[in-house]
Amino acid sequence: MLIKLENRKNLKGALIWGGILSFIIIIYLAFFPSMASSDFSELINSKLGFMPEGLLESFGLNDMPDFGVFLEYFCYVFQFIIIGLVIYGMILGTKSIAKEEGDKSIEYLYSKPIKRSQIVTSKIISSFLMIILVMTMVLISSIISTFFLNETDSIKVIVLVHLFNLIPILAYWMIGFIFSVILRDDSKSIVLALSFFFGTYLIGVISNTVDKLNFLKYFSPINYNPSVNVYKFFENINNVSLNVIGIIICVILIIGGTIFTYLYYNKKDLYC
Amino acid sequence: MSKEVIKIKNLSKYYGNIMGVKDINLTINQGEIFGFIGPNGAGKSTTIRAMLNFLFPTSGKIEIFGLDSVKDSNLIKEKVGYVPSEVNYYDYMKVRDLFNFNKSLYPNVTQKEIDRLCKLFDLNQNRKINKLSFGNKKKVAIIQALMFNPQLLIFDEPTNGLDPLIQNKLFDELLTRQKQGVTIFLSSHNLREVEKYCDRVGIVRNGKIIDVKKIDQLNNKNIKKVVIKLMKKINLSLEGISDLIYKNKELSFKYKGEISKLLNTLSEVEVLDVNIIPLSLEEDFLDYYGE
Repeated sequence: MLIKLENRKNLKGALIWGGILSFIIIIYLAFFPSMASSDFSELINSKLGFMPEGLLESFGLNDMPDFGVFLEYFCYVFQFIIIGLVIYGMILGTKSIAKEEGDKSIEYLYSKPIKRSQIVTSKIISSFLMIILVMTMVLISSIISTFFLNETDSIKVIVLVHLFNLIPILAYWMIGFIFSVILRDDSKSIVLALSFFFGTYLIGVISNTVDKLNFLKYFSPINYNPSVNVYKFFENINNVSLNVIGIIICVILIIGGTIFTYLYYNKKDLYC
Repeated sequence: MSKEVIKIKNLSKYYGNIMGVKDINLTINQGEIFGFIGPNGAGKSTTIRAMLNFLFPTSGKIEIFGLDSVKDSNLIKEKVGYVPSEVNYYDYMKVRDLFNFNKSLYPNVTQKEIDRLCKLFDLNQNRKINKLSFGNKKKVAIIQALMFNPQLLIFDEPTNGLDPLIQNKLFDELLTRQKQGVTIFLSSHNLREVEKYCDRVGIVRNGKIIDVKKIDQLNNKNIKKVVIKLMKKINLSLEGISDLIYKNKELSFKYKGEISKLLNTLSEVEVLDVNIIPLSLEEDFLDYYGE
């Protein structure tokens, strides 16, 4: 019943985010036939050739995407969709507990025979379901696009890229939960979520452009495994490997963040 | 001996270095209506929130129905109905949705009881919560707290925003429940309702309980407030007079003693008008807060 309550709160936002991201990917993919034309492809490749290698690396484009290949084009486009999904997940996490404390509706739940751990569980499950819903909407849109573009052979990789990207999304989502459980209300939650995400994203870009700062890449979960690497890994192209340490860090963040959220919330004073 | 429902022992709560409450000791028995009064920021809400485990005590202990307020919080809340001073629910819900959710949290809540309470307090269940006035939101809070027949009611400013008719209906309902053995903890700034309905009152000031008294003790019938209109200033000398003030040809004072003696004294001077009023809780209360 508590999860149902949470779902009802979150559903509208999820449908809006899912709708916008689906629309963006459909529009981008609709440009594929014109991007794939040899003239345009040449133009893009020549322009990208002038960009610093580090910057291209940060976008996973160091091998220069071939826009004539549907999956390379898809992975390029999907970088931006992932940013949207991570921001959504992080805002969802950061607002999860803090919003209810800001709105003071938590006072109602606290006065009921409901354990605090039940409140956390319902919020975690519901927001996880919302992320899956948004991701599914984007995935369905991507798959539908492949039918129009006669690229149905790519569906398997598209599904794998979607699933794989759940790892950094969930890591940011759980960092959001950590913020949420510490905050006393949600007045600063969106600013905090966006600052944190773009901060780590920028760190990832810097770590790829400046060799000496390469170690900083571990502070940026979104840059651990760019979609193009995931695609090439699963398709055995150019012996591309995955950043396993990055995956482990994400898993630790997800599990550690979950444990921290439960422990902290069970001892937290409610100020409202 | 009456059964103790609430037992607060040496409760202290600090927010960092700031004191919320200190060394609160309080025992409330079954079937009592206990008034909890004090100025804003005195520690009333902190005490209530500690009782419901919204806050963790810095030191001390609270037992409700013999259960620990921290360890057994869930068991306690199965028997406690709470009305907060500020009502905040999920705005997107209809009143009916909230009641259905509330109903699912307790065994044996009947729709018939919900409908009875809605009819009693004149509340439309089909309205959206964000469209309700402050008073109607308060009614929602009261109904959700009463619908499962709790054994303890903790009400924080329950009549704030309610019209006088609904206020009377609420107290009729509370008195009926009191007769059935329900204990009521009433935090209020409305001293008249505390005086009218409570058995005992606890006064909290600067985070400490400064007095706990029975209402009939507090509202001492032997103390009267006397206001006399005079032609000219007089010197009144009588045992039992205190707080004497002369202003605008009006003499006011408190008198504790035999009324006949007072009247005899007054018959000897030129008086235009006399008002003798029993000292109200409000007067007593303000005395507690005087400098």
